[in-house]
Amino acid sequence: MKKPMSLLFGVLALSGCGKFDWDPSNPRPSTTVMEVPLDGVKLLSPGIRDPHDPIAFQQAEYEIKPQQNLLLRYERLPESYEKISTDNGKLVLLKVTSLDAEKNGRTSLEACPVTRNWSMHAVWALAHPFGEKGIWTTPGGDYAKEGCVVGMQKGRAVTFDVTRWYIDYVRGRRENLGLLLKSETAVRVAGEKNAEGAPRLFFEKFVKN
Amino acid sequence: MPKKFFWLKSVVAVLGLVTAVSYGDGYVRIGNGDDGSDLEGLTPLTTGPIQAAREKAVALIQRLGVSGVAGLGGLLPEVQNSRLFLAKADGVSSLASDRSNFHSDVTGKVFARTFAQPYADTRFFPVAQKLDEGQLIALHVHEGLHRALSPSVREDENIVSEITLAITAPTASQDQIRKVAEKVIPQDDVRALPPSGGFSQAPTFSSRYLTERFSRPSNVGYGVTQFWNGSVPSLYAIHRMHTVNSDLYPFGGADTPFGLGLQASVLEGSTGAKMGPFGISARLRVWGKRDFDIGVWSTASLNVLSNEELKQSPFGRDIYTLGISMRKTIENFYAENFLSVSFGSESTQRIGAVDYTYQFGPTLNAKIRAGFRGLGFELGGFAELFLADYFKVVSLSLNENTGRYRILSIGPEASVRFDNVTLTVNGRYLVDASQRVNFDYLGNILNTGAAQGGVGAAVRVEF
Repeated sequence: MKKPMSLLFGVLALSGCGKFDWDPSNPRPSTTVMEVPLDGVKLLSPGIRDPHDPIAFQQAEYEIKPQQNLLLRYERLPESYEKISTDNGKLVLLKVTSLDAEKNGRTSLEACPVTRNWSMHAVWALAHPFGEKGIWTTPGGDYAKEGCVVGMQKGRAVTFDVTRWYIDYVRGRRENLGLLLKSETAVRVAGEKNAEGAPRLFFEKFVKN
Repeated sequence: MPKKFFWLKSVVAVLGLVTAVSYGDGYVRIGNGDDGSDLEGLTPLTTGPIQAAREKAVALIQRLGVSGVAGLGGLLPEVQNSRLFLAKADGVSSLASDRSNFHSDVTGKVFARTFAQPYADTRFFPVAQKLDEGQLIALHVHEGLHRALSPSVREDENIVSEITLAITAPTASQDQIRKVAEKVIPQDDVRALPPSGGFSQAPTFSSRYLTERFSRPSNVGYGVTQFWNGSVPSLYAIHRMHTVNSDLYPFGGADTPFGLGLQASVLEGSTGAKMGPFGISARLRVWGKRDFDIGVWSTASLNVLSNEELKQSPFGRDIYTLGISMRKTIENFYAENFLSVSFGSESTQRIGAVDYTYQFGPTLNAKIRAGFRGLGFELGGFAELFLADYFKVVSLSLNENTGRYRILSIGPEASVRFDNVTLTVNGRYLVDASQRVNFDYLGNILNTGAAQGGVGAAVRVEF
């Protein structure tokens, strides 16, 4: 799956901040950047009890704040197993777009590995309504605190290095349960209805010469 | 009294009544039997020979098994429960309907009158007190028949008299009574009760007497059900369901009514009202013995394809069900068992950009209904067990399988009847379920509803 390089500019430019080693001006030989399409976005809030409440998905923007988290799911990520390699310092990055004022540096946004399988029926209290396995241990979503990574913002682009999540959960445990975005302060981010700013997952891929 | 004298008296009474009147038309219709002259001065009859004769008439009807004869199922409750009154003065047979051997004596004094409709009172006149026990028994039976027979024959004095004679004859038997009834009662008028089950939750309530062969098995109705969501969110946020049904039974014989039913539904949810599943049912009473009614039925709950939103939901599946019902009714109590199986199917739903496939396994359903009944009302309840093979939810990254699960529910049912209109209220409460499942997992909203249960009300008009 190939995307125009222009779409990836924001991600590649992040290497300039020194946090990530993708250098758009000097791409590493034999690699290219791939995108995994986003499938599921679900907003969790104590006030949203109907699994089909339209404000909880398919929106152009979401507000993330205490007691309001955002679940992200990449259902087709397993299809890319063969293409993703994290050897030699290659990364898996999550990029979201802030709709607040532009700035550079750390944000209050964190991306955390989800530890319970969930569906688009998820609400604040339930990962899904199908049996006892569907109850969140912690209302608002079960996630691994030690796996949370802080987002780095440049302009409006907020990037998370989720390589560890990919290695430990997706590849290691075969648990592609997605990521949970949370924040201690209110942050507005673009939703999946925002064509340019929707949350995206990128990874490097070797190119055979 | 020795039995032989009782029958001897019965013969004398009946023959006396038949021959006592020297005039009278060969064919007499009795109308509503009231010229207004005896409306005053009625006192309730609770003791005395007329009351005692009623008890013996009831015993006679029970002993002969008259309730099991097609078209005569209503006689016992009519004789048993009709309120008796005694007029202060004799009435004169001024009505054509009075000119019958069973209604007045040779002097034209009327023995008794009743309205030829169910539940009507019976008014006796002082001259009736001169009748002997056998004559009074025949009089009770005769007046009861005027109320119990189907409308097309209940006012035909010749037919009523012929059946009265068959019942009160000294050598009467159920077979003889049945022969007479089959001869004089148009068989197209009467039907055994068709079986209930599936969508049809309360047809037995709609009948006045459950063992009765009656003339109005067809019905149309409207019902509304409010669902309880409980603490677990519904897979499809439905709050209320409206249904309109039409069950017609034009086919089959008197003991084997067969018909088709249609049921349309409208669902109210958080996103407005939508057309719900469309139901088709076929019902056949196949057998009756020892007051048991055995019936088979099948239903199809069809997804309404024109509604994309409902189609893309757990309820967007077609469900086919086969079932058997067994019913027995005694005087003030009824019990009914259902056993059915719904075949598996699947539906798909897209939420956001994720496709989910719901796979429903075959489901066995066992249900027991029981309750008490009286004239015009019924009060009871049900317990129902669903045993399903599995319920699976599958997407690219989600594969949840409940395996075999159960849902046990109970609920009250009550109905009251006004002539051919029946009002019913009922409830359904989920008592126990494995793995936190609820009625959503069955995906059978027409039959079981949704979420954690609900309360409903319905009105049904029989014709």
